[in-house]
Amino acid sequence: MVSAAKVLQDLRASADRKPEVVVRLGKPLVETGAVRKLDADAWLVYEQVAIAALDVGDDALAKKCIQALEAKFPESPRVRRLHGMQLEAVGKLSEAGEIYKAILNDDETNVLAAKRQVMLLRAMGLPYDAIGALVKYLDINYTDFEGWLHLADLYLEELMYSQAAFCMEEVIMLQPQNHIFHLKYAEILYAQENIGLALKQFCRVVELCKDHVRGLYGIKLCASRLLKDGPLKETSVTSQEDLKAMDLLATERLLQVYGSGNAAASAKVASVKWIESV
Amino acid sequence: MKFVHKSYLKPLLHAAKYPTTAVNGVFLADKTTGDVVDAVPFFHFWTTLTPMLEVAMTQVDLHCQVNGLRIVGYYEANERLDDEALSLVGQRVASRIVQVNEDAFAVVIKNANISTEDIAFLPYQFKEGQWRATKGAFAETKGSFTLENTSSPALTVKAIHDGLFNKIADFDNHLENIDQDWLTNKEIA
Repeated sequence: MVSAAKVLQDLRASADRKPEVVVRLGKPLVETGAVRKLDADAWLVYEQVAIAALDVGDDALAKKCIQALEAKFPESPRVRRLHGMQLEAVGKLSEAGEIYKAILNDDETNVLAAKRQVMLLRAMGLPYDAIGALVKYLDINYTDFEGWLHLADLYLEELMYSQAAFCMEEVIMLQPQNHIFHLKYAEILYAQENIGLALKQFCRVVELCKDHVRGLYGIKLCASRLLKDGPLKETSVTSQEDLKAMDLLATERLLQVYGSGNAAASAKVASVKWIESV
Repeated sequence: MKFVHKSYLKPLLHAAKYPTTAVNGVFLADKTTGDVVDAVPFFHFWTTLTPMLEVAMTQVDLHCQVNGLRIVGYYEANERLDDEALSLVGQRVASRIVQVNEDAFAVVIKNANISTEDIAFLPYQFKEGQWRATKGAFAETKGSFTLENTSSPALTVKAIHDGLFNKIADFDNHLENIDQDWLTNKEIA
């Protein structure tokens, strides 16, 4: 039993969730009552096992843990949130929503409840309510780049590209070195028909991550579109000569990547044709 | 519209590989027989953005030209388990396919049916100016959609159980590693 408690403690300290392991080790501790011997750690184990039980769908075990926690900490928002998650797991979405709302009424800066509430509204098929809740959350927690990323996704689902682009600008300000964020921003700009700026962002992707295939495809798409539009449009952004040079360079790198890799014949044929025709 | 086994299997493997995100792709038909003979998986990172969709569509078109095929439909699986509506993006892509092929259709994967032996395709057709779910699409007598092999759903459940979904590659996978065979997925079927 002692070693089980130790493993659970190590898992709490690591980022791994491993819910099956937690339930396998934690269930006997909870059911025999041995968990109480762990003194102060007991409550951490209850919480850990409750979340793992929700992950694997063991509702009875989750309830047992949450009831023990509620008896000890009746007013704790952390425990109330667990109760909300348990209600979500059994499909009682509006009851769960009431709990999150109550926690946020007491303390609007409660990060965990705010995030659960957003996910819940989304699961209930209320995208605009989810957006509203997340905007409110980000007003307070404006350095949470994952929150901004999530908000961008919510906007994208509604095809609200300019709002999504704004969110990605916030993300990039907080995390400037991650090429994936530049990539997403570039693709949003392209979807918005802002080809000139999209090109710059695709270039940034390839700059941060050499021979990034998706970035190279993006450069080629943008450069060829701008070249087709001719010098009348967007000349102030990038000159025709520079566009031609970028297009040529992307073509060369893509042909090189496809030439040296082990791409399937079908993919090779289609991509080389594409590269040469665009 | 008749689905050959491979064209039923691949979209479901794609959805099974990425159970927590939306996925999408297209169906290909044989130009002479008109049967739906294959499916090409597109995306799972994000399905709402257009630049790589343009690249994927054009490359699939080039692939079709060489192999006597044409694009006849679009499929998607939504992120939420019980969501069986054709998304805004889905409507846009499917409408683009309709412009070149007026019989084109869309399929929303019924997530809840993926690991059961019930048919997990919910077809949509463009009628009276909008995309409508086809009622009784696979009904035995009057249904406008059929499976070439009636045991396709059972075979698919078994394939998912055996972990075959780990082998399917989409265009997102291909862009990360060009060795991934997204157009034909030869290892499947």
